[in-house]
Amino acid sequence: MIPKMRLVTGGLGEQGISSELDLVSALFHQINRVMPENQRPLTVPPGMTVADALALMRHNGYSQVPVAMGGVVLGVFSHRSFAQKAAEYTWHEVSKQKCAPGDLVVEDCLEQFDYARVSQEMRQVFDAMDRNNGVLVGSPEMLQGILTPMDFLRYLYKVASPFVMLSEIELTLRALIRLAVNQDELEELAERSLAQFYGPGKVPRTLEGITFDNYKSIIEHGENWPRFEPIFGGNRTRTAAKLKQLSDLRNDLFHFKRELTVEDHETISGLRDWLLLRAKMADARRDTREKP
Amino acid sequence: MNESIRKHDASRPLMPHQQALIDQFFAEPAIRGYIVRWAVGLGKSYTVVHLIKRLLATQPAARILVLSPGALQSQMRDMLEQIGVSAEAVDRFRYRELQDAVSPHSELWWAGRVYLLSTDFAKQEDIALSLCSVQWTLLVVDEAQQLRAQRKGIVRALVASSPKLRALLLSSTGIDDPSQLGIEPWKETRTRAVDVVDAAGRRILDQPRPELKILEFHLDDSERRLRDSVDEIAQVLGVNDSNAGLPGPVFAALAASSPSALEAGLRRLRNRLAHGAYEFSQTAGEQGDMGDLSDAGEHTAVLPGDPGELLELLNRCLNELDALAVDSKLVALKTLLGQAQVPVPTPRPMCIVTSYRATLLYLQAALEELGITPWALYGAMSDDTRVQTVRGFAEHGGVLLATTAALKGLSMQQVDLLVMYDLPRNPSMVVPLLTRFQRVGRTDPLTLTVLLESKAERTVESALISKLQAFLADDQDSGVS
Repeated sequence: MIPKMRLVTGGLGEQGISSELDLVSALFHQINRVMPENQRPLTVPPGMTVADALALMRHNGYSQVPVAMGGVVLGVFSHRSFAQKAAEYTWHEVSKQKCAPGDLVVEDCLEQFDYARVSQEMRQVFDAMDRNNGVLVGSPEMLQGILTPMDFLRYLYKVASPFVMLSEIELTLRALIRLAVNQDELEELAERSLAQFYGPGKVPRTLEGITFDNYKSIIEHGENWPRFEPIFGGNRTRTAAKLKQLSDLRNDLFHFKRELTVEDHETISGLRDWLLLRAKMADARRDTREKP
Repeated sequence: MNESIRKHDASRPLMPHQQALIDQFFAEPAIRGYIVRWAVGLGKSYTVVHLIKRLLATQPAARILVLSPGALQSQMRDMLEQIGVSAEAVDRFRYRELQDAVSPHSELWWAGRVYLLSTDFAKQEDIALSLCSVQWTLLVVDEAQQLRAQRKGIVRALVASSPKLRALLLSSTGIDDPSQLGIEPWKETRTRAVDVVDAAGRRILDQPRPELKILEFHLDDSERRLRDSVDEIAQVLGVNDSNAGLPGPVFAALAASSPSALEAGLRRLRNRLAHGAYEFSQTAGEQGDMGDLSDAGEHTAVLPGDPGELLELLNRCLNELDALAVDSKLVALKTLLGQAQVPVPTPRPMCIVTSYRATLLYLQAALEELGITPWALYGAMSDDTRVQTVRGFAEHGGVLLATTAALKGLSMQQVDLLVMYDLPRNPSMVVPLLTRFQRVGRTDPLTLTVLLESKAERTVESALISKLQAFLADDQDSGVS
């Protein structure tokens, strides 16, 4: 059973409600965010035949559809609810009613889904999703949408993939820096470019101890660049611009400043591919040098 | 207080033509609608936020709806907040939250509030139905010349469902007869820059006149070879600009902007091809002048030609780009910055405008190499960061890097030095861009520098320069001198 979450409105006033919603929205992966932005719930009337409903679902790529009358949701018609009804449908009933399964109306094949609210955390509906393969959002009187496992999958992929790519980027960047300089040189270059941030003599000695922005500062420092140019190619300004873009996207993502766009995803993916290519080229050059 | 802050302060006195509109609105309650047809830069939005404040003071239960292109919402909200009026921007996610918070004793759209919606969001069927279920007091439609088809439909529906609704339709170019929208009776208030005087009675056309400088630069041999490779790619992709959005001209424009813009475009296309996607769609960042903040949808074109040949060309071009040692355009900009003595102890606000986000980031890195920390303004920023950047630049001056599209709706009259790093691809974008800078409130003359590649044929560039010169010489129908 889904726990009912009600917003406390007493004493908060409209501004309070708005602030509370904003706060909750910022902290959790809410169902509101999991629901596709452009989703418009499709409903069918209870008297629609199963054949028509299935055709409509096939046309829209749905496996379930809410059944509503007068703006109130009565239940859900789905492949499963139809299969269950059809399995119960005996030859005797077909003969008696003179009606094939496709002639049944959806009202005869309803199942009940749980309702969730947009302000709930997504994990709160996992059990209901597992049970029914879908969850209705809103209430019977005000249906806001329907959530399916694919919506979860798409959402989680969208949220997780930039993190995965950025971790690959960070590790590749470290590897490229290590390819360019040895430990002693790294300490010298880091001191030169980072002393202004950490103080003279206080700069961490390992790449693991410094930030992504610090990597960028080390690489793009004018006196350090000749060491990195063979690895990164291009010129300093263009490399700095790419690292700056990565740094900005990383900050936006890790500090949840804004939702990344499709273009941002493509940018991160493109920059990841660029770094991987540079790593492969550096590896190939090193292998060639090391061959006896 | 810093002069540039004063210019941005939304509590500065209204100019006579602005005050007149507000007075007229409250003196003529029987007039249902006003077309506010003022030249760009004469303060339509500024006037409207003051009108809203006064309306809420006299009618605390007024319900106010502002429809605008999505990109302008945060600016309108910021202006309202600056004069102490809170406004709520509503998108699909916020709308669901509002629906969720409705109780049996409350409505979704509260009385006494200002709601900001993008026109395209408001016209969606369920949103339109919801908006029409309550009584609105005032409807403001920004960029009303964009009202067409379904956008017109939502305005018509709102006017029909709220009999006491009054409407303000803001436009710098004029709109169709508002009686078609059911707004009757209505009046048009038309103001040209030539007619406008400030609070002290001075004609605004008496402001300092701008100066145009053209900074020509020459490509070196390696840059020319790269351009030739880009031309080959453009040939394969299709060079006809009118041909269903084929990407050939896009790459030529990216190459003209900066090596970074070109590299980003080439890599994206190569990645798509490598993943078997033989189609091309311009990202917001590649749409240049119209990108970043444009409400236009993404246009996808199926790529012509042999993917294998294209991949080979892309790789060759990327290798040439990798080996490129010089960027003559950037060198020209750096020379200009040196001449302008940036940074200087008392910074003269300077703005460098580019069409592409990748170029902006490239310039940011280049300026940082020179010890200049610029402000950066582009489309993919959170609203908060955007507002902070605009305020920070207004307060502290310095150098602002901005994409053309990100400047939409902003007042930049405090900028003394404007550098057009890229010329807009579309000549019609020139005047709207310049009116961001050459507008009411300017105290010092604007110096506009255009970076122009030296070449034998430049038909498009000549048309743009002519537009610029005409604008700067005398423009009677915009908020300029």
